Amino acid sequence: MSTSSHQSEVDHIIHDMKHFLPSQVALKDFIHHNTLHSLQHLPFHEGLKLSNAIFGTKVYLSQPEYIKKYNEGKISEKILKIKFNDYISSKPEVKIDWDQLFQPPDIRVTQRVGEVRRRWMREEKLNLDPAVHPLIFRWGLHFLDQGISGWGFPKGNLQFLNAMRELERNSMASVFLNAKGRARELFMNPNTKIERILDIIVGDKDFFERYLFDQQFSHPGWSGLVSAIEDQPETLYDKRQISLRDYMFFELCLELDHLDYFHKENWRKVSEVIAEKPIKLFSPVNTTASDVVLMIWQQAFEWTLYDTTLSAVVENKTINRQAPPSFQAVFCIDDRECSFRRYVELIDPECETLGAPGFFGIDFYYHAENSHHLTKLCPAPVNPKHVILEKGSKTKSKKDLHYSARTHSFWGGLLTSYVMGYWSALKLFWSIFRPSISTATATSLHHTDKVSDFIYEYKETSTPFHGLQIGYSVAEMTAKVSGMLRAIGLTQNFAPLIYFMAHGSSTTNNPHYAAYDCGACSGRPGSINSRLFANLANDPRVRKGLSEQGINIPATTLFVAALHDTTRDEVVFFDEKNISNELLQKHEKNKKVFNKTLDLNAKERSRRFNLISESKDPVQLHDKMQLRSVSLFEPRPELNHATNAFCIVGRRNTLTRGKFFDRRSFLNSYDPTQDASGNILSNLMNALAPVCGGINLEYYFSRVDNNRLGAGTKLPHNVMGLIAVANGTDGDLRPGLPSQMIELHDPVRLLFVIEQKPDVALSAVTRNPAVYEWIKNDWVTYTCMDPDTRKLFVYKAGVMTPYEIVENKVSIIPNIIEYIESDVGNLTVGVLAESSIEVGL
Amino acid sequence: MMNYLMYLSLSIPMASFFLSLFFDKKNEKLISRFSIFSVGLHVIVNQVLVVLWWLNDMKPIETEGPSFYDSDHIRFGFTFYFDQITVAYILVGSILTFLVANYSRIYMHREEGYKKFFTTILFFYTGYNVVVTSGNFETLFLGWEFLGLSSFLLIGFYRERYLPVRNAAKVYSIYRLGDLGLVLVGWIYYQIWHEPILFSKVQALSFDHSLLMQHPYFFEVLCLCVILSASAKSAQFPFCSWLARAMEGPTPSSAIFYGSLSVHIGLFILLRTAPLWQSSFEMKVLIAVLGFITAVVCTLTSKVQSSIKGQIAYSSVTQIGIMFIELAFGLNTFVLFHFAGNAFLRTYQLLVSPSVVSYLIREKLYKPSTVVSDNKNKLIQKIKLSIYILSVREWYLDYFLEFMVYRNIKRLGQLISKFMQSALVLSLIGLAVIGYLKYAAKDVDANLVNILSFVVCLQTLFYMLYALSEKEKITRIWNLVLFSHLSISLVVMFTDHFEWEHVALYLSGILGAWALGLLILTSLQRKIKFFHIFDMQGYVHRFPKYEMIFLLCCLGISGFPISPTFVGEDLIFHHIHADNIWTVFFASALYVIDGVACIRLYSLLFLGPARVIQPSVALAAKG
Repeated sequence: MSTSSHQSEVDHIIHDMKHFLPSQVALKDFIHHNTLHSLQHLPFHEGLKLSNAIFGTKVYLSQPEYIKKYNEGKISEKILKIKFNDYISSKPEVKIDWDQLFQPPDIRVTQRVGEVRRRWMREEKLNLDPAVHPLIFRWGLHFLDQGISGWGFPKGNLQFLNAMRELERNSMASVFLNAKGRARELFMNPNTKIERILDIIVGDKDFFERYLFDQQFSHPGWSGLVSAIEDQPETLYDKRQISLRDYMFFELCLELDHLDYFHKENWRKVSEVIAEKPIKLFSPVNTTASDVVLMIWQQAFEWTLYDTTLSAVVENKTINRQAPPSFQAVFCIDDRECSFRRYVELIDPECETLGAPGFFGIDFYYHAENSHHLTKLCPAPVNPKHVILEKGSKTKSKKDLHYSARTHSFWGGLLTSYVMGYWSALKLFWSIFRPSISTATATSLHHTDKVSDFIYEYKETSTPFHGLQIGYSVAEMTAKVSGMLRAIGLTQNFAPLIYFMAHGSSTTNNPHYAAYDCGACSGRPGSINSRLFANLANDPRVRKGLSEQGINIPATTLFVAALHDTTRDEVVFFDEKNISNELLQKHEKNKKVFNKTLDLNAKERSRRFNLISESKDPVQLHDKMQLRSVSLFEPRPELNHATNAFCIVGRRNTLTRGKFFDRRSFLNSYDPTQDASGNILSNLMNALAPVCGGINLEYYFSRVDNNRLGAGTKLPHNVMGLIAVANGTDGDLRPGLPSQMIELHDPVRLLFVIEQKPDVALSAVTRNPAVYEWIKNDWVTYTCMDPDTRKLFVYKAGVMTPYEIVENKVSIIPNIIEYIESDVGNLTVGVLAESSIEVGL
Repeated sequence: MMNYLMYLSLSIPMASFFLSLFFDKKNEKLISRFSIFSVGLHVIVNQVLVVLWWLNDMKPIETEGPSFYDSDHIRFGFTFYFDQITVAYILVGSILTFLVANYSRIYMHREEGYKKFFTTILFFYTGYNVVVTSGNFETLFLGWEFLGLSSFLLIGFYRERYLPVRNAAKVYSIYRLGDLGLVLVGWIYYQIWHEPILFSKVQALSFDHSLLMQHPYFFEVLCLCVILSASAKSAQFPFCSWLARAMEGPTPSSAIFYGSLSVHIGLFILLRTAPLWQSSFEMKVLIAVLGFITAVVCTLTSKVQSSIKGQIAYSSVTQIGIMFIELAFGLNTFVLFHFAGNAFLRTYQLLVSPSVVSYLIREKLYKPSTVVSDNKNKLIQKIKLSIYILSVREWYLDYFLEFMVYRNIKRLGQLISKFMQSALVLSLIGLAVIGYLKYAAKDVDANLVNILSFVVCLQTLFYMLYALSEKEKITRIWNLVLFSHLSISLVVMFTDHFEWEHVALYLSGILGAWALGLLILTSLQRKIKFFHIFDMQGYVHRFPKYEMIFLLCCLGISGFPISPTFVGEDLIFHHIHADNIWTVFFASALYVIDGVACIRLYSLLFLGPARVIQPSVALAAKG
């Protein structure tokens, strides 16, 4: 690393580049984020245009796809006209007429990244990439490997370049082709500056930016991972020190080595080959008619959906209840819980459900007993100060020799293939015809041991653990609990049983398993958080503290932790031994409600897999859905966040209860009447914008360009070093979502609906510039509904402007069960009729 | 009874392959259910066959099938053979294919190439069964070619991406080298024993010294060719590196082909021909040494592999290396058990390979991080690190093939291209002169004909090397392939007595394929203004029909068993006598190169990412 105070040209380039590279860390920490986060400082469509012109990525659906949706009525003609007129009346540079929307557009076929270097290689008849790429991929991979190879990197404790130098210096074989060449010499000298090698290969300084971008973006997967690990080294269990700069330096040395070895003197520098100086990579891009056409289509597509959704939201279905509910259940805001909550309420109309980010307001590192590493259990950007220790764990994970490196050795392989080979055949037979939970399954049910305890209370005598405070003081506990309860407006009318329902998933043979778990818990199931929350909230000292703050929880009320497995549709309750005999009866009754709910929820999920045509019985369908979670050969165990589109923040009762959002909405409970200042909302949005917006945009971009912004089909994926997947053995890494996860997704930006007065709603989000950026630049659509008047407002260029529903029609759903059986595609959002379902128990 | 069952067993995969071609692409249910049903049926038929064979005291069964060429002195036809080697291979093969077909039914759901996948699997399965039940050399070779093509199609399954296509072409060229070995095996065997290879008779061959000494070194070369074929197909030293690169297709296809069935076919060749080479001590040593080198090199390489599929590939090859050693020690039955176990184990490991992340990461949580410690002894440490670097570089095996062999062939080709025009005229004159000397002029010195033929062959070889490096004149590549066939067949005929019928049979398929291919190429050139195959063009997107037909043309012109050329090729080889060793050399070398050149042309034109991005005009180049 350069220590000079003023940054050099190359420093700037690297600094810029790190923004634009994919930022996905190791697979175990898979967290959704905006794929184009680097362009978020620009207005949405402006950023997309740049990405398209500079990096060649597709950023919208194709025009025929939009036209198809238009013909199917999924894009309203009225709204298309409004969007078209809006554009025309904005006096734009590029003028288009109505017919152009339907004519094949002239798509931009150039892309800036790659141009210069490709040109140079063509002129000089060089083909560096097929030779150099496998080498830098492989050395990078060996260095970062977390446990696939049986022979770890010999100097893994050193910095990447130093480790490579040590390796090179102390061996008889060489990493380079010219064991005595200048490339090796430059590499071995720790004082060599990256500019020195650039001088040799590229020449003129003005080409540096373009060359380095071209070079690194010929393998964005690898550069991105290196850059992400440089920024977040804690994502690896075996710590490694690597930086994008080092990786680039190594690549340049290898390129020089290959040039010298294969082409001797017969090549010229880049600046000698290309006559005129290149324009800056990020210099402005012209808007083309096709940019505009696709933008209008996209807006019309989004607003058609928004319009019906908003019309359903404003519908007043508020029911006034005085008595405490039969029970309360707090779920994660996750869109997958959307239908679950609906069924719980339909089956037991007396209950109340709420939504909160699934870490339930407690951020901490978790230390599993006998483990050697800490696990972060809160949203990724948060840096917890506390650690919670597990004790009394009884779980022993099953061993499976098939994963052991011993099967790959000379003798071990010999023995295992003679003996275990036949066992493998039986196992394979079994796992194809009778799938069940196996060592290949990553299941949320194993995330926490049901009988273990936590050390979560801070004692003054305890010493810091890995530099973190062990446990919370009573004051801290009280603050956490009251913060959570206030955020969701649960400060009175407590039911005897309050469930905190975390969620996780169970998938088999799935390297992206972390993407299916709770995003608010850094890609882990939320069961430890919910258990911890229940522990804290049941603590009499905390209750006392709460009542001093005005939150009076009856002594008879009990918080119960639970986990909902979204793939298997199973619920596990924790610490049931704490439930007193009086409550037990109620609990057993509630369990029945949940069990019934699980079947119906599984049924609703199954329609997307076209299983409803085979059976309509919820129990049967539930079994079939469970089978998906344990089948080796099932690339779609569940659909995760596919089709997510809305984030509704407000009271369940006034806004969303009794309505159908097709499992497309994040639902966060929030009581505007308790938040006149907007402070609570502001805090909420700090988490909701990046988490839900991130999920939404990752799906958006993986869907519109699965090849470049997503991971492509997962079927040929090869696991690399336990940290990433690639195609084949020599290919670049594939960050982003595989096609199987996004194929059903409709790329629309997230629609926020906030139950709050427009001025409060606006002021709450302007306080944090990072949050406001999302809204100001239209990376999400921000609307609010005034709780008193039920009028809608949309954020537009700095003000909340009133919005009138265009297609004034709310669809009424007479029977929910028949409705979900009717189609496998997206269903129209609507309002459930009073007698929509007569399930009962 | 047994004969009928044998026929049935063979016709099931073949018939189902042909039937599956007619299915609707979108009808996933029909495609997968039909495939599973036919493979399942095949499993049952095979079980019955095995039971009958077992009841019959495990005596080998030989069945003569239809013949496709019959004349007074030559017969080419199918013969099938069923012994314990067949039993092992057919059981493992059918069970694994059945399991993997079931696995893929859901796994491949909604994948664009759903039908292509199952059709290719059935095609592969047909080839596999033909190989393992073959009773004579021709039958084996036919199945062998099927395997080569299906491998190409499966590795290049994602044909719109660069690496799968490049690796598919690479692996195909190595397979083609294996074909070369087999072609020579057939020819030499005939020269020594004066009969075509029948596996039932190989057991009882006479290795009489005087017989072998008729043609010194022929027997040794025969064995070497067997070893070449086996090593190429089973990824043994020095061909170890291709297997890891074949892992480009969907996981189940990698599992079944490169984890298990396909990669063990080389071993099968060794097993089938064991009586031949096991009679020679030197050959046994050679095979043991090859196996040993492979096992050591690949164990080390597997040990440093950080990609899961690469690791499994190398450990599978390691085990095959050990099987080679076992075979060299005469443990023929043991090897069969080893093969079965290894095939099952690696298939399963590959199929569950995606779950390695969740399993090992969990294990890792409970394991302390360790740093690999240095050895105190400096020399040992130095050796260790050197081995580490070499293993990471896969002992330069891939590098050697890629940069030493291919690159130099291309360089040679570019050099030759400068003399192309004049040389082509020269060879045409040469051919004419030979023809004239042979038929018009009387009492010509046979040596003169031989020398001229040699020169013509050598030139043809050079042309084909050039064809391998040409990037612009695509029709010329195509014409050169035809030319090489013409000149080799003429040269062979000129040095022996001329038989029009054989030449006609040989050239009939080639000419047809050539004409059709030329039509497509010219039409393609007319439709696309800018033509330069610097890298892959991916025209399959724009011209899917051309792609299909052109692939068939490539197969036809390179002697794939879809046209009479396949038979003609055998006949032509029969015309080469034992004293014309160089003709055999040229003929077989050209056979390899023609095939590679065609597949290269096909891949460059039709496969790979579709080109939409053109270099912008903003950047002008300096002179």
